[in-house]
Amino acid sequence: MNLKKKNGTAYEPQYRFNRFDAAVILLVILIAAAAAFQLFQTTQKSITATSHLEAVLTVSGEEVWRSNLSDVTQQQTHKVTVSAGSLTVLAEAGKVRVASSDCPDQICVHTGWLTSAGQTAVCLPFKVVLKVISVDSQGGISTDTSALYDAISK
Amino acid sequence: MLVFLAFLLSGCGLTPVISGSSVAASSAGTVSSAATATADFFAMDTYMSITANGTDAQAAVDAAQAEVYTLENELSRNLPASEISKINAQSGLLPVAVSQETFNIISDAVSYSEKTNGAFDITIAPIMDIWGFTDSKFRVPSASEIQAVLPLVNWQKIVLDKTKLTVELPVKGMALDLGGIAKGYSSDKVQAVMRGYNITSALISLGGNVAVFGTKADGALWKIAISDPAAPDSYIGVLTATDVSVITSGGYERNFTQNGVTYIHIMDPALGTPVQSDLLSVSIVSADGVQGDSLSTALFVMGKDKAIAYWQAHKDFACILVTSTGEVFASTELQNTFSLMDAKRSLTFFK
Repeated sequence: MNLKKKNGTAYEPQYRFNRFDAAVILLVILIAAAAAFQLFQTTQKSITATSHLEAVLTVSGEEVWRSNLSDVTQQQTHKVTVSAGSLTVLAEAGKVRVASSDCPDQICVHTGWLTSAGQTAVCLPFKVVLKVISVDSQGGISTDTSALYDAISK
Repeated sequence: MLVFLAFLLSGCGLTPVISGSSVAASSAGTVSSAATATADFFAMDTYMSITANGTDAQAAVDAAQAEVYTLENELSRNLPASEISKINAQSGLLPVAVSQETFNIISDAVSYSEKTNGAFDITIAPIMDIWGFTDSKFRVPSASEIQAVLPLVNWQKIVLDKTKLTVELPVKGMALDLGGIAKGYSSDKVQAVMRGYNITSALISLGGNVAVFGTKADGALWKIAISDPAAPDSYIGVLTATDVSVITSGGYERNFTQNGVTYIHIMDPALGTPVQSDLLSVSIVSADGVQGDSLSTALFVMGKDKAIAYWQAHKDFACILVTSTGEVFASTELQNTFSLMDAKRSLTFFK
């Protein structure tokens, strides 16, 4: 098809590559690179800010033991003794539980493994609480967005 | 062409980079200025955890904890100086003057007894005693022992005098046990106290009675798991919500086993024996903790069909029922907010 003939006007686009076009392309490349870098930085930041899980054991509200569950390579046990008997906690990589207790109801033992922030195993007769919390890189308690739930209704 | 490209670039390339970094800076600032405080403590024979977010978070949780202790001193039947103990000590003798608050709680309890046709009944105490659930010295009473005590269980006999603010138990041996309503009331009261402080959100768990308001620090809604009554270390599913209480009743935590039979702590007020229903647990989702606490017990006592019929007749709360065969039934308004942990489990939304 011949455009020139059809409209009767001279239509000859001048696709001459000039330096302004070069500048525009350079600008596009620069901005794309800047955006990519920004994205990369944000991703890095969120990786370094990733929190870890800690197990905290309290007796009558007093903290008696704490363990960084992401650092646990071998099984750890910790035994607490109250006037009515003893209770033993077992920690493994990323999880913790009450392994045994002299308490009559055994609810703390039956609770099983705690694997995510917010989970607790409670021994009412001994007033013992084993809790998993999420701690951020600055040592503060963080909101664990990956946690499956914030509280359990029971 | 250059002008067009420059416009395109400023619209899509440069601006997002700038606004992206400014958003990051401002949200980081918000996080560092907001505080989170938690109080973990034992009260009302259970473990409680109260968390608040906001500039006055610490003061809010301190006040909440103090409020729980105040209510426990007022409502516990195990503390001889409590108003409930005073009422119980005067059974068959005299009306007892009580605080407006105690009067209101007992009135609320009576109104739920009436609504549920006695499935929820705070005069259940003498039955709890003979089964050993009051002092944890569990035993199976004889049928004649149960029949002797059963006439004392009757909410209709409670005499309330609104003008004199007195409560009377007219038959000797009658006793009140607010165990089925006190934590629900406390969770409402704790929320009211905490809202008086400069906080944006809170997560309250009074022995598994969960209440939430506001949103989490990152703006997300709260995720409340419903315990699996058949497997205490697991859960049935998760509810996404705010500004509600989620209160669950089941026989799986307080019970005892004798000669191979498990006896749970929730009593059928009509029979004086542990409830034997086709349900393992009932969770009530409601803005009103008193309603949630009393109805979770009442619907558990009723069993699945009557529980669903009760919901259909009222529809002023939502509920999740777990049957003894592991099936889950939830009221229709939870369709978009409740999801199962194990998708293979049977879940039916009823209307």
